Amino acid sequence: MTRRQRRALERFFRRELLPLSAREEIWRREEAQEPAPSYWVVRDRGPLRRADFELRLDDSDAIAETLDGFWRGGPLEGLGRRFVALSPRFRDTRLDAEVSAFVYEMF
Amino acid sequence: MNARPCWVVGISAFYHDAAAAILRDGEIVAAAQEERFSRRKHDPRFPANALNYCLEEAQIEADELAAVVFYESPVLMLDRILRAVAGAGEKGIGPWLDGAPGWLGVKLFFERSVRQELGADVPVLYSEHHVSHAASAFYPSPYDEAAILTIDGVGEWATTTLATGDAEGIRVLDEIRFPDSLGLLYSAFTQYCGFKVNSGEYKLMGLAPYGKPIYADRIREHVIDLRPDGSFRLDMSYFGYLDSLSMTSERFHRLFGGPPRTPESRISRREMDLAASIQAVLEDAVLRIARHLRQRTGMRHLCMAGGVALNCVATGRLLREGIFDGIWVQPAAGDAGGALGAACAVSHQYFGLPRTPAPPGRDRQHGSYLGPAFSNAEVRAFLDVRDYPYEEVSDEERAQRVASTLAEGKIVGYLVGRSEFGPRSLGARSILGDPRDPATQAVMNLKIKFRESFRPFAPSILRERCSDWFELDADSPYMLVVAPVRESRRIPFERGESDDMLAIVNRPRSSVPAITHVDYSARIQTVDAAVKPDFHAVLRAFEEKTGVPLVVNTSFNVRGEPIVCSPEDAYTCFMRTDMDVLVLENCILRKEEQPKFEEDRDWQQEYELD
Repeated sequence: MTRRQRRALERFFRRELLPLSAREEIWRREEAQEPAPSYWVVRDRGPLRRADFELRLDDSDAIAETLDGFWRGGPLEGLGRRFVALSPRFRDTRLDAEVSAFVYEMF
Repeated sequence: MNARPCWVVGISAFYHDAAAAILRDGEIVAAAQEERFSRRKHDPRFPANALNYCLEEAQIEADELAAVVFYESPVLMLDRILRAVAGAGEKGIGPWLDGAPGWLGVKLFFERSVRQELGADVPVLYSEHHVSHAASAFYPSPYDEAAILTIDGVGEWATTTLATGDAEGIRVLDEIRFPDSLGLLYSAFTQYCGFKVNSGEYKLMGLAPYGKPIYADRIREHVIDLRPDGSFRLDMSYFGYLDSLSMTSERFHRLFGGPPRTPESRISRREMDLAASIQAVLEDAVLRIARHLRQRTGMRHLCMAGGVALNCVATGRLLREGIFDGIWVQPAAGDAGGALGAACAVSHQYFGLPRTPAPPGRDRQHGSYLGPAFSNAEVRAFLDVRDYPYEEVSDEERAQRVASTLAEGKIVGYLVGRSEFGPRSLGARSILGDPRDPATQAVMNLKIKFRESFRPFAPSILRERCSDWFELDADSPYMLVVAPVRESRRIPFERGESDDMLAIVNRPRSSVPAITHVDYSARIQTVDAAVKPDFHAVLRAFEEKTGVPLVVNTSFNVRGEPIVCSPEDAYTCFMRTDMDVLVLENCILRKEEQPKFEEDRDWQQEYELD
C-alpha cells in the first residue's frame, strides 16, 4: 500500500467510520444483561425468490447506488458512494496475500 | 428439438479456498478448487484456472452460460465489516487498513473479474453465504426433503443457520449471527493451542482423544452461554477477533493458564486437554442444535455443510445419537463447496429447474469425483517425454500390483480417475499404506507427509465389510464420519499419563493400528464398487492377500502442499518423499528405477507449514 492510499483510508476511517462507533445501532448485537431463553434469530421469510439472487454491482456507479439503497435510513446511510469513491485508488490491488493464520479475518 | 441446456457456474473466492463448479440443468458436471491448479494452498484468488477447467469439462463456451453466481452477497458482507470496524472504535483502524484495499480493488468488482476472465457478458447473480452452504448440503443429497444445518466461522452475518429443503426449495428458518460463532470459538482454541486458524482445526480435533475434557465446564461457565435449544452466545471479552490481530484476549489466556502455545513447539498435556474440552463443548452444542432442529421441522433427515460440518467426530456422534434417521454432509463443506451450492441454488430456485432423481441408494454428488482426469495417453506422453521408466498394466493387474505392494509394507501414491472435490482424498489422489503395520502411522507422518506424528490416518474399507471392522453400518463415502473400531479387533491399550505422543502413537491399539486412533476411533471411507470400481478392486485384492479389507488412505501431498492434481504434481511429490511406488492411471512407476530427481531449490521451503 502506498503512503497516499494509506492516508486516504485513514482519512475515511476517521471521518466516516469512527464517529459511528458511538451510535448504538451500529452493532446489531444487543448486549443482554441476563441470559435469554434462546438466542435464535428468527428469519423465516418463506422460500427464496428470484430477487434474492439479484444485485446490481456491474460498475462503480451501480455498486454505490446499491450500497446506498441498502443502507438508506440506517447508520451507514450515504456511505456507499463515499466508500466506492475510494476505489479508483486501489484499482491495481492484487489479492495475493493468504488470509491470516492468526485471526479469523473479518474481511 | 431439445431445449437449450441451462448451464450455471458457481464461484467462491476472495477469502480462502476459491473454487468453481458448473451445473447442467441442475446436474453437477464439474467442480474444482483453484489451489489444485495454482499449487497454492487455500488459494483465495479469483479461480480462473478452475473456471476454465469447468468450461472445458462441460465443453461449452462462456457465452453459453445462463449465469455465473457468486457464493455470498458482497453487500451484506460489507455491511457486517463496516459495522464491525466502526463498532470497534479506534481499535478498528488496524483491520480496516489491512482489509479495505482488497475490497476496494477486487472484492466489490467481482463482475469485472468475471467479464475479464470469460470475455463474455454473462448475467451475474449472488447467493447468500449460508444459502450457498445449505444448497450444497441439500441439493446433492439423496433426500427429497430434509432439515438443513450450516455452521461455520461466519458468512455475511450468519454463523449458524437452520433451514429446510424440499420440492419448493430452501427456506431459511433461524440463525445465530456474528460475532457469536461455533466456528470462531473452535478456531480460537485452535490458535491458542498453536495451530493455524482455517487449517489447523483438523489437527485440534485429532489431538482431542489424547486429552481429557477437564476444561469443558470452565468453557461452558465463562466463554459460551449454551442454551437447551442449542442457541448460544459468546462472552466477547475472552476473544480478540473483533478488534485485534488475535483470536483470543488476555482474559482468555488467564482463564486457561497462560499464553498461547508457540507454533511448532512441543505439545503439552494442556493442549491435549484443551482440545478434548473444546471438542466436548462443540459436540454438546451440535447435538442440542440437531435435537432442536428435528423438533422444529419434524423432518427425518438432516443435511449439513459449513466448515464445522467437517468435524467428523461431532458428525459421527450425531449419527450414533440417532436424532435423525439419516445424515448427509456435503464433502466440500467449507467455502469451496459454496461455489457448488451457489450454482445449485440458482439452478433450482432462480431458474426453477427440478432436481433429477438420485440413483437408488445414492446421492447426486457422484462420489465427489468432480475434478480433472488424465487419460493413459496423457500420462504416457508426460512420462515418455521425460524418459521416466514405467510399466503399463491392465486395470485388473493394477489392482493386484498395488495390493501386493501394500501387503509388503510399502507406500503407494495413487492417481486414478477424476480428482476429488473437497478436502479429503478418496482414492483418486491418495497415498496408500498397510494398516496392519504398527509403524505405518509414524513412518507416513514423518517420512512421507512431513507432518506431526500424532495425526491419525484414515481407513478406506470395502463398503460391504464396514460393519465387520467398525461400529458403523452406513455409507461414509466421503470420509466424514468417525466411528469406533469393533471391540473384537481391539488390543487392550492404556494411554497413560505420558506426554510423549510418539510413544503413545507407536503402541498398537488394534489389529489395524495405523488407522486406529488412541480412543479406538477411525475416520472411515466406505468404498462402493459402483462409485469407484478401481479403488474397490484394490481393496478386494488386498483382502484376498491379507484377509484385511481396508487400507490406509491419506491425501496425496506433503504438509502445506495442495493435494496433487496432475501426473506431474504426483511424480514430483513421489520423488520428494519416501513413497515406494507411483500409480498414474495404468502406468506403474517404481522409485528404485527412477532417475535421480534434482531440484534447484529446497522444496521444503516452497510450502508454508499448515
